[in-house]
Amino acid sequence: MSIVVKDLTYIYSPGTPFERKALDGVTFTIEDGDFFGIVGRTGSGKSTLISHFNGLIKLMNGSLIVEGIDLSEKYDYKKLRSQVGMVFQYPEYQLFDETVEKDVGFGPKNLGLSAAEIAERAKNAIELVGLDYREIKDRSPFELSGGQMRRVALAGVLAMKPKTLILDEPTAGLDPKGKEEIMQLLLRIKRECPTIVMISHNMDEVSSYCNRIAVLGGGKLKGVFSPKELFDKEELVAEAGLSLPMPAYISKLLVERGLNVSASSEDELVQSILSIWGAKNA
Amino acid sequence: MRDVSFGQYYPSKSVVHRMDARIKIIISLCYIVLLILVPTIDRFLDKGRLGDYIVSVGATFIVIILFLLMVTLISKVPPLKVLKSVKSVIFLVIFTAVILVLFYGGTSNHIYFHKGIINISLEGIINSIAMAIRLFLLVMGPSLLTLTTTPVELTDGIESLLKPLKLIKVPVHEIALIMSIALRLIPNLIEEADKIRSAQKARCADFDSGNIFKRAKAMLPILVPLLISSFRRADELAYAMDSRCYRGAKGRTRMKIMRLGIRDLFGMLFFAAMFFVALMFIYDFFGVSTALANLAYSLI
Repeated sequence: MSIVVKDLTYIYSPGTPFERKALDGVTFTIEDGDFFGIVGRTGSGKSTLISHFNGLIKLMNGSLIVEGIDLSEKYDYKKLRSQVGMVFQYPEYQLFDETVEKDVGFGPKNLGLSAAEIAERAKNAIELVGLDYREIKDRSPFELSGGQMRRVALAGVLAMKPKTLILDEPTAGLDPKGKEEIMQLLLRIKRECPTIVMISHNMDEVSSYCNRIAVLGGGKLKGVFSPKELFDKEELVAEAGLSLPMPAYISKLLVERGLNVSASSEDELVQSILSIWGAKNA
Repeated sequence: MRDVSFGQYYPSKSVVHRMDARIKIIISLCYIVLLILVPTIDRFLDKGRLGDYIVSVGATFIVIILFLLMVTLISKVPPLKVLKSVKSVIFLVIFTAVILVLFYGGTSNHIYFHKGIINISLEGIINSIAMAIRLFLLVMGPSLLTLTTTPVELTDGIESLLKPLKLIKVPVHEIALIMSIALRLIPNLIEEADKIRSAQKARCADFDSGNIFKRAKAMLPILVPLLISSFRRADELAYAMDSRCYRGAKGRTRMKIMRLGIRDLFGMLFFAAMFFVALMFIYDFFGVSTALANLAYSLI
């Protein structure tokens, strides 16, 4: 089990007029190898939740075990943060060093690794995110394109060799092609970093890549579902501020018009429409 | 980094909040002048006794503190917020106080310890306590101004007060605009710095250990992205203003026109009364301080 969350509660500015419950008794488990989605409206507590996972927010109430490290006791920050990589929204805004290689090596350097190991990890991470190591390593991160910068930032986290990768809206602000590329990249990364947790507002993304999805609302966990289960709960989808993914939406419209279609992916939709079509013509 | 109370407005509808920003700025300036007028001990001991100094300065401080307390209560700002504003200068004050105690070089009749340039005396200790109180009051007063006045009102007030400088071609409006943009962006910068800090922390960056040079160097991964995003933001803001036809002060009207009211008059009178009483203790008008000191001596 990668991450075990139990009864997690977090209150901002307790004891002041600005007191606000960001998380309220959240309990769930993320298994090893999950591609785990977290959805919910703005202010539903998603970011607060994932900030707990690598100790950026101190545990206030409840218990949390991440990669075997119990966060309610004293623990080694560096060990936790090297096991759990965190990619924030618009990660390209965190780049700072003179060259791409140095920037990517920042994490390993902080871990106190040897120069050779740092270089090796930087090289692997840059190649893992699909960039040309030789060509890019000595360039300034600020002269790259937006998509490249995001990849470099991602490489900077991957260079820590995490076992779990947490991403906050990794595709925000990208064009459709860029979004697709990043998601494909995540699938490739998943071979080396088996557990991926992702916040997203894009239902198509969540439904086609995640195997389990947690829905948050007002700091409470509304449940953890498979994509198919979630799309049968239309109210919950609407409450989370999401729209149905396109295949599910089309099949819903078809069902309303009397066709017997059930699909959560494009392939399934095409298959079921084709079979109805075939039966009609036979 | 989130505890920057300076420049943080505390919303309320009190009389103090509704007062004209210009009046509040003038009062704050006079308040600062008043604190500067409080004498240090050297200036005093040439002609007076140590007890006279304690009584005169002590009484002045009590008057000023009472004034601050009353304004705070009227303004409905939690007193703790005002007190917290000294947090940012506390190290400066402690440092100054220690230096003043160790190296006091003025007249002193009660020496406790003397070796080389180190000279600890009763006068030095009293002097440094007075200085510490003075510095704390110096921060608390203006922070009360920013707690009860929105940044927009504040810059509008400054712009209005600086208007006469337009005659000698000082770009008053532009200066006020720069100030208001700077003030407006402080919370954004803090938020942004927090975000970048978290991101670098997630890459095991260490900001809290090592000596001062190491720590300064550790700030680089925050400062560089912060600087870059400030430039980006400035660019975007310039475009946004341009596209809404901003052309500077010429022909620009205001939605809120500042008008002096009866409450401003009362506020000024209230401050003037405090100001006069404090001056009375400082300069010994009508022999008040001397009389008080004599009374204190006779009691002891």
